[in-house]
Amino acid sequence: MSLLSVQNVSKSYFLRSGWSGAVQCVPALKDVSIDLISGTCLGLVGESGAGKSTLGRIVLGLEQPDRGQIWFQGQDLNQLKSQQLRSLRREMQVVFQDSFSSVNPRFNVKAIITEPLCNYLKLTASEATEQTIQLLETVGLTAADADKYPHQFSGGQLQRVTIARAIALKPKLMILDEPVSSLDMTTQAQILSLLLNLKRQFHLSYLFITHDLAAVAYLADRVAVMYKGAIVESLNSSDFTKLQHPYSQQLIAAQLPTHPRQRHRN
Amino acid sequence: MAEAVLTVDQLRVAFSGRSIVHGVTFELQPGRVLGIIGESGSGKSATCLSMLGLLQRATVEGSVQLAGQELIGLNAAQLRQIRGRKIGMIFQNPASFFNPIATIEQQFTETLRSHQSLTQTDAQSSALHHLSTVGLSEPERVLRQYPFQLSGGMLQRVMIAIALSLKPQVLIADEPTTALDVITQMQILRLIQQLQQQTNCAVLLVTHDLGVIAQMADDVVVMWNGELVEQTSVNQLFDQPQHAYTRSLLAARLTPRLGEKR
Repeated sequence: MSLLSVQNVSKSYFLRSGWSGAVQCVPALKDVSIDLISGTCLGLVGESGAGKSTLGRIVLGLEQPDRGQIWFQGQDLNQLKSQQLRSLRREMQVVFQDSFSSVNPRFNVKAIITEPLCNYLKLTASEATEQTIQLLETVGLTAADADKYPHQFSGGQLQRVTIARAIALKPKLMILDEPVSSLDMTTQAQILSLLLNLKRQFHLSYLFITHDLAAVAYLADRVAVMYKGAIVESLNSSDFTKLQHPYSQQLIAAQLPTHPRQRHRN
Repeated sequence: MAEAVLTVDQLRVAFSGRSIVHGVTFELQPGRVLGIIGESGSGKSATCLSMLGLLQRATVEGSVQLAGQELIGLNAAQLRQIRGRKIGMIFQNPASFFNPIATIEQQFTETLRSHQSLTQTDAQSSALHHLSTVGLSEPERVLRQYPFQLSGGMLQRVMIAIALSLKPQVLIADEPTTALDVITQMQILRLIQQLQQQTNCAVLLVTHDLGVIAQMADDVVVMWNGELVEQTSVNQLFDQPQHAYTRSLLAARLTPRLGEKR
């Protein structure tokens, strides 16, 4: 059954251009529908500006859609009262591309990770420490990292911290918004493999936003291609070479070779 | 083998006594693409920037020879003659390379006129010509625009046009496509390849992406922790990696798993 169902969602932004203040309407999402089955990962690929991140933000409730509904665990998010929404928010977490801007530089790791826990639960000091250590170990860090500050970590390590924070409340859904795009290749592979293990271990569902088809093939069960605000096609990620849309074809053709013998020639 | 255009010998870079690059030696042959690969912090960029004296407060030792001329120890005025004219550079983040409050025309003609004696009109038409060679469809309009009005891919093309307009012998490309989406990345890589073949300049390509290496490089230098751990031809690197770090890098590629059942 679907954990998340986005139905016919549209969203436009209004830009004021120039000194005259003429208002320009920019459609970011056009009648978008997606379904995410519980325990699976849906890869959302598309070029920059295609509306991938806007869709992620609407699912999280950070933006309101102009039209359409978001159903999460059988409830229409737009119809919920703020109290109900608050308890549902526990179930959905997010990991952003830029880990440094998504943590408070003045918080140590323990404070970063336990902040969502403390929002929902009453934890004693020793419980908080215990939870922190457990979460750090789950994401491949150690208890010694709990007292460190964000600037003491590399990008990949800090991304592990934000993942630990995201899974702290045992959510059902995680929005992964380009979680590995700014990391170097070795670290990318480590973080993707961590995400794959966590998905199996905690039966998580991912909405994985990326422009990297190789990462989609690795982590996602289904792939949906977005182009200019609309979903142009979707299929099982193991069949992604069968993608038809001209934009998808371009995306496949632009994949870097894995060996110099497969080099693209002029 | 032809005489190397760039010879780096025992290059060491240190910041306030802390060594970042510990003695790197390699050669760049004319008309070839040498890829430097390594993870962040391995000293790839420090190696390239130090050659041109672009690392402030760094102690640089060793030797870097450009067609027989020693670069280490040159003063600022001498370095200005090298930078741009003999060694061109393109960077990862074009938005920070440009002056945000000057038009592309002002920045392009400034570069041309500081190295060649040209009138403003000649510089303008030269800039126009070079912009059209990098596949920008409306070069006249681009010239009048400010950096923020152009997309990342377009700015990267402008930066390449500026770098190649002075016909350098060596082009240093430091992660030229890391900030771009995959389709633009492939377009920019193909463009660099095409221009490199036309002008026959040698390219030093810094990247952390083995895919970029597979697409572009003739020879490869692998850096790890400030040291050069492997130096080989690109086919050798993929077929018979020698160093443990290189093997782990190859193992981290996701692409071979494409389509495989997990």
